[in-house]
Amino acid sequence: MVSGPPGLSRRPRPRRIIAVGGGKGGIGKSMVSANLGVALAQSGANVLLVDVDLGGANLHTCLGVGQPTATLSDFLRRNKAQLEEVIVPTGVPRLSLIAGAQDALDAANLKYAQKQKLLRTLMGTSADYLILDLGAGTSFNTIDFFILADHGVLVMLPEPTSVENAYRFAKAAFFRKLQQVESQYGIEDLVEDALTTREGALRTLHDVLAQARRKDPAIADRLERELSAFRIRLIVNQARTDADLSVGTSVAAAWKKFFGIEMDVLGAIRYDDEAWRAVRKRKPVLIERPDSAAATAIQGIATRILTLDGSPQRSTP
Amino acid sequence: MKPFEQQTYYEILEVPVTAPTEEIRAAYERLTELYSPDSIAVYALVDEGQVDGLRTRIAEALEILSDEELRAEYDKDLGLPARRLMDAVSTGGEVAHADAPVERREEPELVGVAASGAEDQTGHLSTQVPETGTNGRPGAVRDVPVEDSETAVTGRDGEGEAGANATEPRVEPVPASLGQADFRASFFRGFSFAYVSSSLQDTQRLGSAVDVPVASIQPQVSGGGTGTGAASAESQREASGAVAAAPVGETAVTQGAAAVAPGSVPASEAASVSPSAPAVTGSAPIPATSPQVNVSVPASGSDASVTASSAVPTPATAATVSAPASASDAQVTASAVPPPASGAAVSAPASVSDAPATASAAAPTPAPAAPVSAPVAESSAAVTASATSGSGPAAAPVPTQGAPVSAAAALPPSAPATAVTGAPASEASAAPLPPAPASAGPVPPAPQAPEAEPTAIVPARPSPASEAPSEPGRAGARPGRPLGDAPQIAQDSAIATAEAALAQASQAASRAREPRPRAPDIPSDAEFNGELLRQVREARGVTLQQVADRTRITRMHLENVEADRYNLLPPSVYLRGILMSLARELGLDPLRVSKSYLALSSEKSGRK
Repeated sequence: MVSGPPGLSRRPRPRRIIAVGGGKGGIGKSMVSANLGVALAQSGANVLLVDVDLGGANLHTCLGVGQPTATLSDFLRRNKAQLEEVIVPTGVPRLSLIAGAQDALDAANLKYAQKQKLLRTLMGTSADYLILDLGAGTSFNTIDFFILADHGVLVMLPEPTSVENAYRFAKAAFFRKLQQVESQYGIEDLVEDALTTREGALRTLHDVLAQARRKDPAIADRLERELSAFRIRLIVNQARTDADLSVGTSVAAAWKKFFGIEMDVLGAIRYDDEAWRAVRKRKPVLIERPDSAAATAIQGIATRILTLDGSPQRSTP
Repeated sequence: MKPFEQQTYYEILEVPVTAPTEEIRAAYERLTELYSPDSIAVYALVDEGQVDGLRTRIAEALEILSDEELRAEYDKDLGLPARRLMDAVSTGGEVAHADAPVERREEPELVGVAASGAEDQTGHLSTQVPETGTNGRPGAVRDVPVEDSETAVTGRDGEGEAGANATEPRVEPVPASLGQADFRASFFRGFSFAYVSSSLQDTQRLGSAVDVPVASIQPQVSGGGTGTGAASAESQREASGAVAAAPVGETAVTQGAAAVAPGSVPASEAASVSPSAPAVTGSAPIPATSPQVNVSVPASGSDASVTASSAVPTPATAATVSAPASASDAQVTASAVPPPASGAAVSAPASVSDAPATASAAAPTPAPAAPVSAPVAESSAAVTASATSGSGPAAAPVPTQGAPVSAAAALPPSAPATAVTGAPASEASAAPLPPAPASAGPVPPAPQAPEAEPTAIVPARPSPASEAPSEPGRAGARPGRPLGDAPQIAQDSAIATAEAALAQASQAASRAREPRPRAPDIPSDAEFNGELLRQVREARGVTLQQVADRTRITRMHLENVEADRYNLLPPSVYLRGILMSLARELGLDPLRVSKSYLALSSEKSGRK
């Protein structure tokens, strides 16, 4: 399970980090995360699933792992803990899990230092794919994991509530990104203005860029490149009609039209009773019913991600 | 990453600039659905105002891009000419071909003119012409058959009635395609243009035909205006080259297509204009550069006055042409809009009913064709004459009450001059228009006009009129007649004026030739390498910088072209555009030059 060059004392960075978010709760983030992990593992990658939904962890249930003995909060609370100590096997080859916090009442409220520690440590893991299952909402804890990822996967359902939250989530992610880079580009004031404008949210992204350009075209160009490089990947879950299947494309098109930023549509997952039944059985649908529509869709998404990463599928060792 | 407000219509619709109309419509449908108020995809994405704004833009985009003329104009504004035009050519090719043969047969000269679009001129023109043809737009070159039995009907299209009429020997092919009419003009006119187009089709049925000659770069352009009673008396030009054609109301409306400017001539009571009657064709080449061109053609005839005023909305040179026809009640106003393109040649054809006199004016400038639209007042026939200048297609819509008639740019000389009297205007109301004094529109300076020649030359040279004898004689006949006789009166007056117009045209034509230095003789099989281009340029007495300024091509590119530094030149797509612009500027055949040069380029540089 080593993907880094041998002989280096430094831990190799995981090849890819996938963060699965979505803003709204109950849209299948954990289900997508778990099954995506299974699909990637089945394709030969070493995958580490991390349940970062600290307040509402249930990824282990999706995988049928049962109540974990060690969780992320154990790692966070103990000073000298090693991440390996909290990694549990899932029963699926090459797929490991770090379960979410279970008991601590304040588990969801990650301290800044804890978050930094977690981020640092996660960046240091050596899996081929690190999949972060994010919680609902757009708190900084969630967003920060999202923008740290190579693939920020946005799950949405083809319904207004979910779409609304997804947009909110995406906008929040972009402004968080802007905030992170603001000091390096000297545009704090601009971002401040943009952020304090209620509902201005991303509406002013163009303005931010335009102003930055006035200040320094070179910086604006870099900023634009950086923002453009941050491409959200979209997954539409529980599509019940054919029209639903194209919602992802529409959303991406609208997003691009208004914000000039590309979104990739990874695919749509059909609403599938099999998926629901699998959850009831506490098994990933990919394991339980690999030939179901939902499972097929998720495999397609995994393939898509592998293609995006340009990696030939690893042969099973 | 730019907000949609700044996106081009192509970007708005997310289609390539080469997208065919069907694709554009499909994109529109898709986006309309996507951004509909109840679309889930935009829910809570941005505020409603923004989505509304986007929807508006999408609608605009469809309007512009689904209309070939508007789209071509828009493309020009975007600065992406060649590519799409080429496509257009390919798509519209069929129609164009159909028309072409006819034109050629009948009039060699005209062909030249028409060719401006198709051949000689830049690819733009050629492409556009065919397109219009295909679309069946009014702008397309069509002859409008006059219902009158006597009147010759030109049925070029062979469609419907036109086809029937076509059988008549007199039918003249109209070389010029209105479609080419000035983009800008049409652009500005927006919807009205569309309206016109539809109405034009109607006019065919009505039977009023108007020919509008298009002046092309070619030295001789015969603009044929045919009207039974159209007479163009005197054309006065102020400023440099303006061409005015004054069609006389009633039956014949003629337009002088101003080279860059399309003129719209409203003819009152114009009953029918038969394109086939090549009474007098005057083509006046107008140098684009001329800031103002006023042409007034007073018709000495009876009551009809024709005013051709060319309003030039475009930044290009503006030419104002007013041709008042003294004809009876008819007023014709021709507004010419000069395209921004380089020099424009304008031919103002005056139509004379019985007298088939064709005046061909030589247009010295390589200018693009000028579209002319002539709305006919009162009578329900509107005539649109578009002159095509080399660079731009001009469409001149003529909103007339009755039937709009699109005049094809060039009239074939061969057309018999059967006057159509009493041609029923479509809904023509007998109401006479008050004789309107010709109003000359102010002409904005045309910055882009190439080879501007301050001394405008309206070269209307009476061309060797085809076999038809011109009968200028009966001017001002029967002034006192009742309105019902208007056509007749107009006809008479037209005839009277025709003579004068011819004379003037010939003068102008002869003058027109002078200003321009002759290009060096170029063998027909010459290869246009950089050296030859340089020689031509120097023979024209133009400096590299002047060319650069006019064509907006970087001087560096021009130098590289002339020095045959193929490897330093941009990719052939761009190079082609550069070559065509340069050739146009030099008065050469853009297609030939670009083809020849690109062949050399790919051969020597190994580039394909």
